[in-house]
Amino acid sequence: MGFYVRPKSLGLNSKPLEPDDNLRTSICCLCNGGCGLKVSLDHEGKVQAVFGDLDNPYNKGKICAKPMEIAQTLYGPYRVEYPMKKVDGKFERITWDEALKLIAQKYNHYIQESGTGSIVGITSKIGGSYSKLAHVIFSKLTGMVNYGTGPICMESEFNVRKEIFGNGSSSGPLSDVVKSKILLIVGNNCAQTKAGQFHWILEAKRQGTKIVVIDTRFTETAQVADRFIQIRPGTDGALGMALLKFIIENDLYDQSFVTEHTNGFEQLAQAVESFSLERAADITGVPSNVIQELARDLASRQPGMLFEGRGIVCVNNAGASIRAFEDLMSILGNVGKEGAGIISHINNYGSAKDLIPKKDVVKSDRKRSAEALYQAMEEGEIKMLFIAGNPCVNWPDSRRMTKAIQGLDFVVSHTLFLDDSAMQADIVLPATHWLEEAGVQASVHRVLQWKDQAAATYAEARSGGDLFRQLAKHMGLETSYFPDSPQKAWELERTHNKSIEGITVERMRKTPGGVHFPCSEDGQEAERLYESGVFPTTSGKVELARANDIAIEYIEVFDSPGNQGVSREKYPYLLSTNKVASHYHTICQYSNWAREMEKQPYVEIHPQTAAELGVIDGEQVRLETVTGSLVLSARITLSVPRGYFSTQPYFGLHSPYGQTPANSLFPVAVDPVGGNFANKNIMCTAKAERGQGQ
Amino acid sequence: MQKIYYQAKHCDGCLACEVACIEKKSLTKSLFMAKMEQPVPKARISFEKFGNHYWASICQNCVEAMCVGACMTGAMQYSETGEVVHNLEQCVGCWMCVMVCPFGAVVPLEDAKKVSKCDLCKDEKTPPCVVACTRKALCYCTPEDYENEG
Ligand code: SF4
Repeated sequence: MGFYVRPKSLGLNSKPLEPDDNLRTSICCLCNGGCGLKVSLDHEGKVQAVFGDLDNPYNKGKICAKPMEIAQTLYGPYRVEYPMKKVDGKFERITWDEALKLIAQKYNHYIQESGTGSIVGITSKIGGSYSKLAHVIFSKLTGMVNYGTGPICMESEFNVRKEIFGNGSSSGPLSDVVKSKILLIVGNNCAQTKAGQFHWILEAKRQGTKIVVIDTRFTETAQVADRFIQIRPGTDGALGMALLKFIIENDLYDQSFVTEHTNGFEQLAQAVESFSLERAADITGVPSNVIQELARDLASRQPGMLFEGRGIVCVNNAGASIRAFEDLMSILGNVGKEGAGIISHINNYGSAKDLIPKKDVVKSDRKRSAEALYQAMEEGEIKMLFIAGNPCVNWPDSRRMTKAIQGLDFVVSHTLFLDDSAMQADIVLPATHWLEEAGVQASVHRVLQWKDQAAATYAEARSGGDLFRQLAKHMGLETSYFPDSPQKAWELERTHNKSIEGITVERMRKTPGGVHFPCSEDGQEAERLYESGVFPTTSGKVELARANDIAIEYIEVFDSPGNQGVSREKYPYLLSTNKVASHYHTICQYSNWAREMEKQPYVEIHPQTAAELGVIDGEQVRLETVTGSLVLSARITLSVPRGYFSTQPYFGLHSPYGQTPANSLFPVAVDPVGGNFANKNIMCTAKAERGQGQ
Repeated sequence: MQKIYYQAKHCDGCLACEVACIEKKSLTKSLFMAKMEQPVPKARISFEKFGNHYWASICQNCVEAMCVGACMTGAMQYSETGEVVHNLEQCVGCWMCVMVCPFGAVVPLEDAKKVSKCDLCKDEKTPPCVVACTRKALCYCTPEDYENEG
């Protein structure tokens, strides 16, 4: 491996990197792809470069740009170095002790005055396994209610899959694609979003797996697929239901699997009854012979796998689409076999039980949905907020979220960067980066991999694991429940959770690529779920229909939450955010390299729509939805359909981009079945913006 | 194998090579029309100025190329004769090659969301950029010739 230089950022006068013969191994903790990394450090223990780990059997040395960019931001001007307190609108340096004391005092005060429900956490970036466990223990001791990554990423996927199979996790490893005959990729641009692991899909293609991509955009993934099916936005459910109907009617499904292992087949057949090929073709814009061919392909090519993406999960009618496709996989018998199953980045290995005695568990006195959180904050019901994430950018109606946070009494942000949300905080605490924390990382291959701390801890940064233990101490809580190191945390978790009992740190260290879970005490690991044919639902079978006996309820995208009642004359187009390879969540925006790759956010527009609006490439366009408007530069491309706009969700005002977050345009609307916020397919209008900036 | 070599000491930053490259990479093969093409064609050679000096970024066809190692689709490959070649059809625009190239020589094509790089214009006897370089800052020769002539 050669030495790594980035000349455009380093310039001619920069010194070459000092050779580091002792590269440290780590695991990328960004997209749950779980790519192995090699990290080169300078003499102070700071990261100087990040490479792919050639010895990792899953990524085989491939990675995407994101971990490299992230490593670059670690020592940049936006990184928080020490705890700070806001005094008269300005941040002032304080010590950790002062900060913890103040937070503890406020915390106890609000619990007494307004109840445990007056304190919530938005904790999508809480840290690695050590921090997560400490956070769980802390929440149990204090009754803190948390909103994690779920509502903004995978709540619907998780909930619907849990209803069907009894477990929201992915059921087959991505590495199984080489053994499958067909891979159905729906609303997922994994060539960009799981770039480090995409070589598996191409390898499968070389070995004869048919790769079918269903998407609204002609994505990079679609470009290398065997078959691309372009579908109208938000109509995936109808396509899935038509496939189900065709397969059921023509007896193309796996009859023995259906009779032995499923419930609700009749209800399913009834629910899809009206979705003839013609009707589906009308709704989706996919010709009926294409749907028919796909159905036949799915039936004849066994085993098959499914890989869904945010394109059908983060939408306002996600419940129906996810259920349709996963029910489809079930009736085809693509469950619990080699080369069959559902691939996902959701890796839920269950939670540790009985970590603290019942007497010390505090239940929150109020529970709210993610949707109701906004109002509760605005009406003063919530007093204190703990942020480990960036809700002012990545939660919908971001402007409303920012205002709501501003109105709270006391806000704490535990963060890497002084981002949009941290700017609203009263106390900002420096967090460690995942390269600075040991822990366990899951991957899209259903394995758990251990990583040691690679880089030296930066300045005064502390991990969530340390933070919560110390905060508990200041609050006068029992601290003996908290582990004091990542190793001890895993030991504690492992011994309290049957599904990972056999996965010791030692074993993970020794096994290249990590250990599959569940893994019982005797060390037997399960590469894929449900091979025994037993499902963790109450009936022990796959539940093809919902508890209310209706299998799937298709809702049209224009009648879905967020679009319901909105005038189609006034807002004739649809707007989505979609991801690119150089950015992740809101953190890569602080990297110069990411900015070099993605100079500015843009909106993709079909040439005909551009002509309607009278804009040419590069001109400014004002997009408007019911929640507000935003100016972006136009990129005219045939990869999006007519009447559809696509932009990127990453950017914030307090970053080098200085950009109003695209999520400001999305109303607070959730999928009624699964509970995911929608950040796609929201009705909008657009016009050319001439001669004015934002 | 012949490569394009750059000698900074002869370069006065006239950018004639860049212009020649744009012309060659345009659909219309005309510099005048190239400006009006959508997307505007991009040169596979680029310059940066440091004080009075110029530095060119152009593919060096490395023997152990970082871009080939980083490419997850196999779009970046070695040809039979040892050049690094890029297959646009296999490219999915993850831009890892852009990230890792130590010469900054891989050019992202934003509109197509792919990349491209110098392909040595094998259809020509001498690459147009080299022809355009009147000061002989660019030369197209084998490594041995380059070593010998300096
Ligand atoms: S694909 Fe995911 S896990 Fe792999 S390097 Fe990229 S962000 Fe990290």
